[in-house]
Amino acid sequence: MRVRAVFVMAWTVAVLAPLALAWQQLDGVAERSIFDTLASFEDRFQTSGALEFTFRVAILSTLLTLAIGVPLAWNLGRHRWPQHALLRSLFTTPFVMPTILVAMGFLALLDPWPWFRQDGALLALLLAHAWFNLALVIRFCEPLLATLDPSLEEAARLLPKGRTRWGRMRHLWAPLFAPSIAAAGAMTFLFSFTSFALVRWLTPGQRNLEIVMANQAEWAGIAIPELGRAPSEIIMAAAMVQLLTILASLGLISWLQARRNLMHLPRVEDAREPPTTVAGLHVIVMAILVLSPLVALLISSFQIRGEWDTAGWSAAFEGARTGIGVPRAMWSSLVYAGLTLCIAVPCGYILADVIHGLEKDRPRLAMAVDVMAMLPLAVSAVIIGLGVLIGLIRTEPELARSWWIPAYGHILLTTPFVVRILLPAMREIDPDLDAAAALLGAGPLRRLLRVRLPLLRGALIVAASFVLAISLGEFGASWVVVKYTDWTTLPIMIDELLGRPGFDPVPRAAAHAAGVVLLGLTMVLFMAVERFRPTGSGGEF
Amino acid sequence: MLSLKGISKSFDGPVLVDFDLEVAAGEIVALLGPSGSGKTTILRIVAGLESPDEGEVIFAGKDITSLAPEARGIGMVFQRLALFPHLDVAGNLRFGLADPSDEHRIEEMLDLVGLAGFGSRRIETLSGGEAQRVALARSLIAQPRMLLLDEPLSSLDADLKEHLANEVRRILKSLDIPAIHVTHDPVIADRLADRIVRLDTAKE
Amino acid sequence: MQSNTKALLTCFLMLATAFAGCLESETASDDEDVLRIISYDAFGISDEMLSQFTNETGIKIELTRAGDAGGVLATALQTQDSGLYDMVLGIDNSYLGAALSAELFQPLDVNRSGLSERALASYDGDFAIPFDVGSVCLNYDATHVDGENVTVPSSLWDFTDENWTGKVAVQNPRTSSPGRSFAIAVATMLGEEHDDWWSAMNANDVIVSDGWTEAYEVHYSAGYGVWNDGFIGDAKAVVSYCHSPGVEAYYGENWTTSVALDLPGASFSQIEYAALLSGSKQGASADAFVEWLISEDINSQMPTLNFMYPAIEGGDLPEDAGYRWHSVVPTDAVVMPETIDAKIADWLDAWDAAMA
Repeated sequence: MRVRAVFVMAWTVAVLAPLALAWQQLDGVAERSIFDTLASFEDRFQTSGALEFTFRVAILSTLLTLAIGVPLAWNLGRHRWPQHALLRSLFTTPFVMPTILVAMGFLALLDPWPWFRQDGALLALLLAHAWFNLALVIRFCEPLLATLDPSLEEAARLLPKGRTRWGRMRHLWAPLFAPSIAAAGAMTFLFSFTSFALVRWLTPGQRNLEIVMANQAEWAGIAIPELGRAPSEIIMAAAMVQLLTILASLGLISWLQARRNLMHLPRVEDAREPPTTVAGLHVIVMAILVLSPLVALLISSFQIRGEWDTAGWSAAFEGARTGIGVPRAMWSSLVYAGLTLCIAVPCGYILADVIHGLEKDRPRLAMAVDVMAMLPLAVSAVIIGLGVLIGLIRTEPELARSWWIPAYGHILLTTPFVVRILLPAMREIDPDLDAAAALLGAGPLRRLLRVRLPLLRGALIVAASFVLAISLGEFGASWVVVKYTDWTTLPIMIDELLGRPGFDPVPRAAAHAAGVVLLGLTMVLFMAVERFRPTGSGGEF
Repeated sequence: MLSLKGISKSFDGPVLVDFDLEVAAGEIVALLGPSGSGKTTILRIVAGLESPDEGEVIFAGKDITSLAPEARGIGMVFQRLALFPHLDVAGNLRFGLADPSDEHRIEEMLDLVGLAGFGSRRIETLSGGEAQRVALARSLIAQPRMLLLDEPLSSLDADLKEHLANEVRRILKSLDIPAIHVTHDPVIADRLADRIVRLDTAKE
Repeated sequence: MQSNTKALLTCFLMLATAFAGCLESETASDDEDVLRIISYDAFGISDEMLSQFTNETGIKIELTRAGDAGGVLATALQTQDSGLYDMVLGIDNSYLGAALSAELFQPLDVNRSGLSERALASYDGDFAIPFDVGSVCLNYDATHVDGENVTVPSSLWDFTDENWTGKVAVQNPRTSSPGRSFAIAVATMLGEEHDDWWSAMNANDVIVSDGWTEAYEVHYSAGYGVWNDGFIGDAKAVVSYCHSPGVEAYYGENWTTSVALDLPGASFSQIEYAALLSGSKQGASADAFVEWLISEDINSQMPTLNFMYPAIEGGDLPEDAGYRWHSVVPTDAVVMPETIDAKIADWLDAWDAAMA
């Protein structure tokens, strides 16, 4: 118990220390208060329209995602599809795709329709967000749909209020799934609110808070007033708005998850019905739509200036233009992903365990730890990066050169997902099982290895797949400025290639090629692992 | 009231072969047999939740074999009770009300099943017997013309079973509702029903 | 799999990665002859060439890419005196004043006699050595300026009329160094009126992007962006370099419709410098590197590596594929780093307010 308390402390320090350092530095340079800065947002080009745009995009994205996602989750979960596991993982894969690749894919996909670049740019962004966050709706709703006791629906059919489909929708399905849908919506809101790559590429010329912060990031905290004052003020103000909004969303999600657990939903092994033609068509169409940006990216990697050409692929693999080839970068990505996996999963497990243990007796403390575990998602990467850099410079500059420093970012960003995935699974474990094992003479370690972990197997697998996929696509090293060139990962390589002026078309095509490799790697890893997840597990992430 | 004629149904193998049954108005019939004998299937066919491969279902003089369950006016108490977890007891009963102005009937029905004042209780806080009775009340409040009971008492202890069996019989009789009761327990079958129909494994 | 085996494997994996990390850092920590350099993202010298340098001199180069020129300065400021880096590449003369005021640099001991007058125009001291030059100016699409309805602009104010509504793309001076250079040129050329001009441009729907790439690739109709996914092509004029049309021709088989606008004073001679950071102990290695960078051999390749003019005397763009022919050497605005350092904050604030 003490070990776990120490651990939670360590995590809190790991998250809060950079924040505190960054805040202190920013505060030292800023002169105006956050309120004043926010009030003058509209007066400066750098920030005008940002607040309104951020909220508008987040809200509209959430609505569109739910509108598209709920029917899909319904069809997916209600019927028994051939290759059901594969289908399910196909629809949830978009979520772990690196956003820069999603942006590239959508640009490639929408290229034939120039309308999407001008008047329709916002719609393109919303569609991209919906594509991306579809997975959330499915993850939150589909498992429950697939295993909910069919007697509930049958009973409803025989009673007056449930006689019509509409009646059942209104009185049975909607109330039962409202918490899951709302939680999916809140998470979609969170991710749309902090969307960066998609906004930058799909709606150029529009700024959301994340982009504002990224623009100002260079100069943040620099003690020379002419250079650093305004950027520091802007970042503090934007970060505060972001933090409060996201904390509110996280609190909502946490509350909704807890509320759903109060309802004892009767479950069966498999409640799915045979598929219908209409449902089948729907699923096929959606599968095609989900795959289309990825296919578009694949096609564009073979095109240079409008002609078919594999020069991009050769350049990517040889590494002539980039200093590092795809094979080496892929290896680095995998090493970081593996390292992150080894640390984030145990970290997340311990945090989830602590929260679960506190839930019954000290629910407020449990919620506090829950929020602390999720905090890295709520705080802008800019601030964390700044804090890490400052912290390292003040204490041990040489550390900044260590190859594992970027992993810090990966770990901080993936652990919250592990917590969100493991926690509901832990709640479902019958406490008597652990007690029975103890009475049979098994010590804590044995109970952990022989009882607890095997019962959590499904959730652990899901968590592992998320950690791997997210880490593979993470531009986390962009936080910390020191990039150890030998350990360049695939996303960084792509970023560098895209950053060059494109007079020479080959680096751009090489970026697409490397992107396809990254995509493929992520998909394969993610989907391979997903297949081992049993039908009804998950459901709360 | 109810006539089953020549009902046959197969799933992986034949479950029912040429099954006949008659239930008179106001009569309570028990279907007694071991598991696998097709008793639940018979109930689901009467309710309309399954369709027979062959045969007819005649209810109150009409052939309802292909009629949707929503339109049959037949109620059912499920084995797993299927109480709606997102509603409290009164909410569950309200599901059975066609007309919102009949709110008062909820309290009446709770009285009838001996659960007066239970309206605001949450489902997960109910004991086995209480849940049983809520499920019964919910089906009855919809004023079905016939009630089907799928092993409703099987998970209760012996004393409670007998007590509830008597209660259910009393309520059904007082409302004059015919019923088919499926069970594997001969003692309960005897208590509850007017007539027992035995089903051996598979065929009849 | 047995859970014990799983646990063992996990431990092994963790140890293995940690061990691998140790190995890696061992080879890199003999830092007697490592030069750590901050440069901008688009820096074009390939790792092959850097390896060549290492082979010749025994000095290993570690290059960190930190965004654009502003990012380089910011990184240098953030890590000042921490010893993390030794050199910077790419701070240009629009930022040089600030860098010198902050006492970021140590003097380099390098022979500057081979450098051109143009390269040394803004600064010719020891603290920063120029390695390439380019003029930031407007490029326009010749198909739009057809001589019938639309003529070649002879003044910046021409861009505020209806022929150019929504057709000019500029970059945000706070986030883009060409944008910053251009804003400085405008402020120098138009003086007190410069914020009026910006307001007028804003009213004329000028397109503002956060980076050069977005403005040039996505918006400019005469650039290579036409081949890219997501191309819009609504801008007929863009802030870029006066030799950008040359680069277009070079990669476009001597054909392009992009033309550099030769408007005296409406361009900024951007000179990029290499400098040694104070706090670094690698002075000798830095000298060697900079000498290599401004050597005839390497520096004459700037046009094809970095898309900029060489800094050495007599250095010019190659003639192949019309690179030199399509490029313009304009009459730049004359403004010194000290002036920029003193006034840039006001200029940028004025810009912000005018464009809001």
